[in-house]
Amino acid sequence: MGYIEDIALVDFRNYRDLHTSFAPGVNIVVGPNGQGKTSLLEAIYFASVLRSFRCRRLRNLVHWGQRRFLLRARIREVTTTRSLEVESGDTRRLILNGSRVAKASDFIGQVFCIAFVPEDIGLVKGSASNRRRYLDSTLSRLYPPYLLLLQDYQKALRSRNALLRRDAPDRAAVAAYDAVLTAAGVKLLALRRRFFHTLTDRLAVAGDLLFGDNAAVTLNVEYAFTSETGTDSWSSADWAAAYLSGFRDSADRDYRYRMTHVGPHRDDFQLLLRDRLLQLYGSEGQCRLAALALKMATGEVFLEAGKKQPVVFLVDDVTGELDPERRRVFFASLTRANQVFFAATDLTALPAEMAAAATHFIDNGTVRRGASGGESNE
Amino acid sequence: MDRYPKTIEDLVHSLSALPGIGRRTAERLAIALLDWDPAHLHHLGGLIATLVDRVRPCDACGNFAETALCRICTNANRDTNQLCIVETARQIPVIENCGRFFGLYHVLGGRLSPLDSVDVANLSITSLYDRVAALNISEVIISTSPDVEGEATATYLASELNERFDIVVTRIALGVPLGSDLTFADAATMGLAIDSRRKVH
Ligand SMILES: [Zn+2]
Repeated sequence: MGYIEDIALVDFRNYRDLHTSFAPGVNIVVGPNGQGKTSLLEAIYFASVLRSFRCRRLRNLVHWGQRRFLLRARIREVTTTRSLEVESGDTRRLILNGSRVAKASDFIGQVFCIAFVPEDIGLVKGSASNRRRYLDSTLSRLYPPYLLLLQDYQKALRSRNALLRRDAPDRAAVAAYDAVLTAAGVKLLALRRRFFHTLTDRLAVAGDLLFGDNAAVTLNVEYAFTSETGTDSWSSADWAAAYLSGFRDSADRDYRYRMTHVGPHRDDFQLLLRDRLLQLYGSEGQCRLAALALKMATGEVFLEAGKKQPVVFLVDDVTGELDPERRRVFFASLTRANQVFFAATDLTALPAEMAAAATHFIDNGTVRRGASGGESNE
Repeated sequence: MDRYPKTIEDLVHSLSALPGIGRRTAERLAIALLDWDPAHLHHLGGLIATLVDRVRPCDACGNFAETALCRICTNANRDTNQLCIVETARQIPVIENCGRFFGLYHVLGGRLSPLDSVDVANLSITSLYDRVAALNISEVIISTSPDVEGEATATYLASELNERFDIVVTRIALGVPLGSDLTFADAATMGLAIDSRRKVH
C-alpha cells in the first residue's frame, strides 16, 4: 500500500528550505520542543486536507516576513507515484501530478491523514463549531461529492441570509432558496447518517479499549428537522419533506432575526460515557481519552472505507497521560495505518509496538534522517 | 515598452482585453491586421464602430436584435406555444444549435443572486408574466444554469408561473455529456444524472 515518500517545504513555519524522505510504516519524529516536530506533521496534514490542525489562519503557516510557502509531497504506491504541490500566499496554486487544479475538492484526499493532537479535546469539550469542522473535513475526504454539496449548501445559506437582511424581504425568493437548501441539505444528511452509523460501532470498540470493557462510549447526534416520533423509518423523500417544511416553518423567526436559524449547518453531536454527557460531566482526563477514542474510530472508518489512498496517522503529544496498558492498545491500533508519524521528545520512552522504520531528528528547522538500526543515511 | 509605435501598442492593449486573448495573441492579431488591404480594414472598423448603435436587446424577448424585434420573434414559423427562459442572450445560440427547440425565448438578464444584490426586480420577470399572459403559451421551459443561483431562480419562476398561469412548467434535464465515457464523469455531474434519471420503457 501507498505511503508519503518525501516532502519539500519552503518557508513553511520554521522550515526555510527542507527536503526529506520518509519510510512506509512507523516514522518517529524526534527532537526537543519548539524545533519543528509539530510543524512537520502539520505540513503533512496540510498536503492532505489543505488546512492546519492547530490554526485556522493560513497566514500563520508562512515563515515570518515571507509572503508565501511552498509544499511538495510525493505519494509512492505499488506501481506509481503521485505528486502534490501547494503554493499558498495571497493566492493559492494547487498542482496535482504536474497539472494545475482549480478546485480544492479535486485536490484533497489524495492521502487520508488523521491527526491525533491535544487540540482534539475541543471535539468533546469545545463548541459545536469544532465538531462541525471535524465532520465536514472528515466527510469531504471520505465521500467525494460531500465538499461540493457543502459548498452549494453554504452558498445557498449565505444567499438566503442576504435576502433576510433586505429592508422588505422577498418571501417568494426566500422560499426558492428553501428548496435549494433542502436539495443540498438532504444529500449532506444522507452522507452524515451513513458516516455516524459506522462511526458509532467503531467508537464503541475504541471506547472499550481505552476506558475498559463495556465502557459504553456512545454518540448522540443532533440533526435538524427531526421528529419526536422518531425518524428511523423515514425515506429520503420524508427527510426532504421535513427539511422543506422545516425551513418554511422557521421562516417567521428567521425574518425577525434576519438569519437562518435551523438547518443542517447547525447539526452537532455529543460524546457520552455511560449515558453521561462528557461535555458537561466529564473530567479533563475522560474528555482527552474520549477524543482519542473518537479519532481512533475515525481512523478505523478510513481504513475500512477500502479506498486506494494511503491512510496516514499523525500523532503529536497525546500519549503522555496514558498508562502503559492504554499506551500499548493505542500504539497497536496505530500500526494498522499505512504510515504513522509519531512526534517524541526522546527515543527512550517508546514501546515495542512502535518499532520504527525510520527516525527523523529535528533541529531548528532541519531534519536529519536516521535508520531504525541507528545508522545514518546522510 | 517601445517595441511598437503607439497606435499598434494601443490596438494590442485593446485586443488583449477580449476573452481568451493574451498579450502575445493580441500582438499577432495586430500585426496580421497591418497586412490587410485598406478596404477590408475599413469594413471591419465600421462594424466595430457601429456595433453599439446597431445591436440592441429585442423589445420582446431580450435576444440580440438590430430592429425592435429579433429574428426569432419575427419568424412566423416559430412555435408560439413554447417559451424557453434563459439567463443571457448568449445562451440562445447554444440552444438554437441543437436544432430541437422551435419556440420563443425569454432572456432574464441574469439570475437571482442575493449575494451580488440581484433581486427579482433587477430581472425581466414582470415582462415574462406579461408575455405568458399575452401569448398563447402552453409550456415554459426553464433553462437556467444547474448551480445554486440558477436552481433558486428556476424554483422561484416555476412556483410563480404555476401560481399565475394554467401552463406546463418544465426544467431542462441535467446529466452526463453525450459521447463521454462514464468512467471519467465527475461526481457532481454523475449525481445530477442520477437525480434526473427517467423511466425506461
Ligand atoms: Zn425577440
